[in-house]
Amino acid sequence: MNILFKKKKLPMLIFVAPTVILFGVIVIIPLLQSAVMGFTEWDGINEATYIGLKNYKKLLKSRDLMVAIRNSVLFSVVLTVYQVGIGTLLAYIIANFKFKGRTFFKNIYFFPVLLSVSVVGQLWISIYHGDFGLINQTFHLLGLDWQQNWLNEPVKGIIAVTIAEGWKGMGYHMLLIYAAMKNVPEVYYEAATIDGANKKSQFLHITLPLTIPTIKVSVVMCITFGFRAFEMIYLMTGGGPGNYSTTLPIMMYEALFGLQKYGYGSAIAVVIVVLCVGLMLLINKLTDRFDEQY
Amino acid sequence: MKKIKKISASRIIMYFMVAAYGFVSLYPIVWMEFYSLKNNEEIFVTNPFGPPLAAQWSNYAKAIAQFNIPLYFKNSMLVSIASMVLGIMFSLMFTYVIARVRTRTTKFLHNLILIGMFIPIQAVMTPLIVMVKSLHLSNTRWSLIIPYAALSFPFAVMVLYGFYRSLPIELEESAYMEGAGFFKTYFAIILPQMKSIISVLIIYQFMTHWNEFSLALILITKDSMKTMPLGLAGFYGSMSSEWGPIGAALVMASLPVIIMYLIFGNKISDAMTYSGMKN
Repeated sequence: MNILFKKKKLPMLIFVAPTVILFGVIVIIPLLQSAVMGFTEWDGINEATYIGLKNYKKLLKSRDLMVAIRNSVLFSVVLTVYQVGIGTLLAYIIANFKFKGRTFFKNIYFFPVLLSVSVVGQLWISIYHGDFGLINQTFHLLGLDWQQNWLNEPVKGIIAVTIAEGWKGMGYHMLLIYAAMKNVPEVYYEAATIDGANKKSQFLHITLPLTIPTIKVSVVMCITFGFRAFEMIYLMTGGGPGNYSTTLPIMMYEALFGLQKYGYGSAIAVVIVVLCVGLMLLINKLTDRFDEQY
Repeated sequence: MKKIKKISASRIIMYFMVAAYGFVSLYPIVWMEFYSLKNNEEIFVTNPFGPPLAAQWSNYAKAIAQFNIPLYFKNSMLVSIASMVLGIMFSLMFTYVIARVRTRTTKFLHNLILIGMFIPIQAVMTPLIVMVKSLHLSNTRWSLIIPYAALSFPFAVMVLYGFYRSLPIELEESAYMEGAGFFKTYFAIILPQMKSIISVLIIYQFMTHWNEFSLALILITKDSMKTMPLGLAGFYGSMSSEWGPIGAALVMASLPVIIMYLIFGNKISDAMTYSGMKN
């Protein structure tokens, strides 16, 4: 410990205590409680009873589980392609080409990030609306008969929700990737230009390798988000029609508020945590070697 | 000659992509603002795409009367500001000690908080519901303020840590030499150095709290305590009726963040960029 602070233990304790206490009470203790509650059957009111792995077995046998996993995978894939794919492309154009209005466009791309999920959800419900939605009206204008109730379709529904989610968050990932691209020292490009490298090989050999770590962060966020996806789905389809657009967090919400099964809900929460952390570690592990190349 | 032509062709494609996504990004919001000023006849049949022919400002009055907008607005303001102040104050204090004194304990605490960044909110939901009930905090603003503040620590600590570490230790050395105590040194000398990062945090945390939905959904059931996002979700079913007032409500709910963005645009981008360093 630095000699300066040797005699300041009490004031330091006062500085540290509120954060440690609050974080402990709100995050750490509940986290452990969730893990324990997953092994019990509990309605939230009476005594909890220990039932071992029954909640997990019940989850494994649940008809919703496969649908939830399929939806999460769909969500992850569409979100990654939308947010990281389009985000990287637009970030590259804005960061590497000088043209009028590029700050303006950057701000416009970022704007939906600021909106509340409730606003975006409601807005896209009206865009997808079966009778008067923006999409159906556009098809009508173009004389096409593709009108449908987009959110009420089995697979199209979840993709429609994901597009709304992607639309909301694309600007965030674009901004992260843009910042990383701006951090690439200008001299690299100058040297490459002197060596006669064209824009394409500059992108492949300078921009991309140096922004890969940031892109990786975005990919991890998008993929794990698919398994945490709740708000937009809850708001736009409520997991329906039937269970077509359910995910693990939707199942958890139903277990807590529909069935009053706190133990089962906690078991689902544990699975969500394990999946998200596990996927994050797995992606980092798989792409480690990829990083070292550069 | 040929080369110039080729470049301009790829440039045109590029501009087209930039403009096309700009349209995709902006038009839905503009469309929402348009329909907040239209009646159903205009939205559905006569003029679905363009600006309102005769602006129906009464939609805004209707939204305020029907949907409790002022109440939700007030709740959201109180909750967002209180959690922001508590969260930033505590993380400022905590991170200062963590950054200045590196012992095994402080390193452990530091890592413990940072782990919070990877934990999905669902992991703490059920116990929080139970805790709030047993502390008789159900349907109070505190039941949101305290969790919001606590959940804001990981990001704030991560950002602040780097800034504290960049301050020279000589600041404290000379202050202590002149006989200033711990608190005086911190508040008079260290804290003023943090102004710029604090303003970034204020904007970021306020917006996060203002838009938060999941926790509000599970912890608040009484209408009089609902925050804006939760309140908005309450009239989702009414899409079959009049669209105009709903559009008006959505526009009003977005106003604070829109205004903040217009004033602090760059700061918000900065804050968002910091948040990406979290992995």
